Amino acid sequence: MSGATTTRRRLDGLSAAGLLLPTLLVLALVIGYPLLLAVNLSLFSDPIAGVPEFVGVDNYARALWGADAGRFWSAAATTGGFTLVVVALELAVGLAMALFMHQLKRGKAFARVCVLVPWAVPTAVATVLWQWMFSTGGVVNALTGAETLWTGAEGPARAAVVIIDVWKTAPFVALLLLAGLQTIPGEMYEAAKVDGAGAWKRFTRVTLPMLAPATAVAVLFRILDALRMYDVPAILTNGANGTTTLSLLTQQLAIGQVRVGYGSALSTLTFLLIFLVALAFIKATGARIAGGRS
Amino acid sequence: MRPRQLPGALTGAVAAIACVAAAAGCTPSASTPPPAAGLSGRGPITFMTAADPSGGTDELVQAWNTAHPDEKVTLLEQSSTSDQAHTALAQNFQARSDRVDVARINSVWTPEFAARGWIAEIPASAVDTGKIMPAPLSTGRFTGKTYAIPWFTDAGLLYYRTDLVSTPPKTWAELKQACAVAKANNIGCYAGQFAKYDGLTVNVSEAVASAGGSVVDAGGTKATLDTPEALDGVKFLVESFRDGTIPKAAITYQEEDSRKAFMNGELLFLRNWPYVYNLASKPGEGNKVAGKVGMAPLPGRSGAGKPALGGWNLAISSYSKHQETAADFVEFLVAPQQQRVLLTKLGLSPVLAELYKDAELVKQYPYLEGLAKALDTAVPLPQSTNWAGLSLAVQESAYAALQGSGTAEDAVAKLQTAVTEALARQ
Amino acid sequence: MSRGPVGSRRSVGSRRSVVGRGWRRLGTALGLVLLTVYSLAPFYWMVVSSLRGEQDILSNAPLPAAPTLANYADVLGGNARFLLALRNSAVIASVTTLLALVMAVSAAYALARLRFRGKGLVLGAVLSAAMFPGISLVTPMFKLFSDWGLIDTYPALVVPDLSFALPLAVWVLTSFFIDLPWGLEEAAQIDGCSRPQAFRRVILPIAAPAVFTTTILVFITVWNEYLVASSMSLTANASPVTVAIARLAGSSQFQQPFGQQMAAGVVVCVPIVLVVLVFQRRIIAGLTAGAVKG
Repeated sequence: MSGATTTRRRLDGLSAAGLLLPTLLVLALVIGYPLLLAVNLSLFSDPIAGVPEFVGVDNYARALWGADAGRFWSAAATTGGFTLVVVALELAVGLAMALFMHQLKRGKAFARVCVLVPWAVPTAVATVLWQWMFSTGGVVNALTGAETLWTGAEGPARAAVVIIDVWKTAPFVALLLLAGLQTIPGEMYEAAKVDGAGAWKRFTRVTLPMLAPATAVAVLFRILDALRMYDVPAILTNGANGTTTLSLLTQQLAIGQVRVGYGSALSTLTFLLIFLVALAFIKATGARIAGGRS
Repeated sequence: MRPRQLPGALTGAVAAIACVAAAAGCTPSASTPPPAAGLSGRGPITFMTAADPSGGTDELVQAWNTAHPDEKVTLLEQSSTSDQAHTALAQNFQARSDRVDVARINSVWTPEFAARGWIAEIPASAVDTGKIMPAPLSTGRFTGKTYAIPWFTDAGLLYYRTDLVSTPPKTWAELKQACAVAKANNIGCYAGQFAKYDGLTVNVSEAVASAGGSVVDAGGTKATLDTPEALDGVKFLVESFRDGTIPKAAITYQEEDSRKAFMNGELLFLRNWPYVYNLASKPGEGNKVAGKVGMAPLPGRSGAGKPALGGWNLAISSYSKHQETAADFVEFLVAPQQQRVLLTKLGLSPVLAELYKDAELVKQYPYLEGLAKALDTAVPLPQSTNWAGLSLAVQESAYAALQGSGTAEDAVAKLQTAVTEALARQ
Repeated sequence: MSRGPVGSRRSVGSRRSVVGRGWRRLGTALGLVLLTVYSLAPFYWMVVSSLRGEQDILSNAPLPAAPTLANYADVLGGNARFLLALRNSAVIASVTTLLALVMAVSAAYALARLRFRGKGLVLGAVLSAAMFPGISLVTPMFKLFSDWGLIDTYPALVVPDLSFALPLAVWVLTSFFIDLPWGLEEAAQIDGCSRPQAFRRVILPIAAPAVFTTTILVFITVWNEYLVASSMSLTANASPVTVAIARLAGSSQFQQPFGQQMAAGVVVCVPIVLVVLVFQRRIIAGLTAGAVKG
């Protein structure tokens, strides 16, 4: 038997390489190449006409402690704040939806379709819809009877961004968690019941732990997306009233002004920040996703 | 290397290959203009412009294609949002693609595109501009040469409630006096577009111009907001927010929001573009002011105001291989017959003076008269090679002031600094 | 209100069971109402707005006074431009999803099942691909495809979309694959199946819910994509619906084509709902297959 096992192990490495090659090649092309190109370009200046000159880390210096430092760090803080709030809410709402749909006996299909509608509507349409609804003379103000300047003051503007993003993307979390719930074998609940565990104990001792991998992936990807939030603040407020995210800042300071070098530097910085956050998250949750389990 | 380590090593190898590939392909390319002198090349061309639900653009292109079967025009789609259209064009030009021959560009982009060498100079022999109104024409010129031909234009107008006010105000003082009427009727007095977007820059520039000042100098290289005139212009806006002449809600207004407020009967005066006139005059579910809408020139500090000149131009790509055809097509689009279609089918304001004097057209489109008067006094928006940066600077400085932080003097000082910085970066 | 899994509530005694069932029905009804309001209230406003003519679009009344199909006529009629966009979206989303899934299933199998060094590195590399801000990805991609003459063709839209489709698919599938009963695969191999056969016959049916969930997630994510598509498509030949909606123009320059945008949003939801209805039946079918097995 041991000879067969060793052969199998040797084949493992080769098979893995073969199975992973397509994925890695595609990603090298669509991400690796632009990323490294961006790093290269970020070291050059952006004259309006003429050849870009090598300026070393000037672009980075400008963003981190130079002329744009205030805006950069403010955008970073705003982005971080949005991410925390949005992901937490999406997790709560998504979990509630998943749990509810999981125990539905009838109306499963209706519930599933219902839940997916907010997510299926194209982001631009949804944001324009909400923008119209949030306008000072719009439906939301008509229903609440108040005259809130949703896009005109800091608190309401941030709340509006959060509401739109959570409304739109909680279904993504719900779907992922629902799939996770469906893979929990019934025997585990039976066993827990035999051990005398009540409904809440079953939830905390069986459901939540078994759901951990799906939750971790859902939260991780939502964090990555939220840190790159662009559409909603761009369309709703154009970054006014404390809603400028890092991606929006990059668009305003660099891409809209066709500053390729500076834009590359800002993108690289955004990438690094996101990388650090993801690393911290994986370390904190113990990387249960890929570690395998007993 | 042991097989089990293969995948990890593979990842590293793939990354290294990507590295080399990127390094090989990537010293940033210069954006110097291509060496072509004059326009050259004939053949089929593409025209990048916004979609048009009326079908008028298709009609124009059909007319050209029938007359020029060897030099057909294909339409390429442009986003209806100005920023997105700018990004799409910038990408195309940066890649030095010959895919786009004629492009519809915002009149404020001409200096930038010309300075970057993206659009070709259009000599007087290529396109005849004799009949085009002077103000729009100036938006197509950069360093004395013509780089873009105006296709359609626009100017800010004052709309007012004819049932509440019999004569529209001619100065800001008169406007403020008329606010008593608004108060008596429990509605807002005046609004423009003050959300943090390009429209705010337009409104601020308009206010500064209407007070006799300007945002930048004629060459577009120096900020000129440190003048008493500029201060008066900004003061008008800041104080109007403070004393309630402009309702607080106006800080969220773009064109459509302000139109909504006016048509809902919530405003006495509205600053907006000509498109509002037809919509406000027709009865409808959301329209409370049908039949009670009048149009007038904008008021200024001590006399008539200077409306901002909007509009879009036609430019020829430097990288186009059929520039001569492109020039002919541009000339075709600004010819009287096609400009007429522009007005009747697309609902856009033509750039030919003669059409505003055409009795039949004026009867059909009553707003043409008011618009013609506005176009006579209109001032182009600040011409700079960095419009995006300039606009952002104005937006950020002005928005905070209009929300109530600081005095008009602070706002003007901030504006001056921000605009100077934006101009310095290019 | 407890939300235990299906079939966990077994009440003792007929009186308690009647009360329990009553509460349960109420809870379910309430949940369904909440879910419906959450998802469909803004959608309702979207539909109402799409039925309002240009003249009435500013009204806040709950029902349109003079409903009209003019917006739908504009969107669907007029040289069938929008139908083309729907076709494009369907093709791009399907092809991208198919490619992403084929590559991701292989990669996930390798990561979840085979033993080799560098798993963390591979997963990290794949995840990093999902961290790069989209706006900076686009310009290098545009230049690349422009040089290859592929702008405004499907490859230019499918390949860059893999930049976010692949990482998502790989991570979601890996996290689900890890928990599959691999013992069954080994048992099948002992019974004489080759490895791929064992995977296909034994594992894949059990992994079906996860695979179909990933399919929906990737499909809708690609369907919603705007940034890449707007740069890579120049005509109706390749523009997906998100781009077609952004290129909708109002009757005059500053007029927002709100009614048409809303009509377009409604039209776009229909195929998505159909796709989900088809696939979600498969998810349940996959579940029952898994239940029989185990």
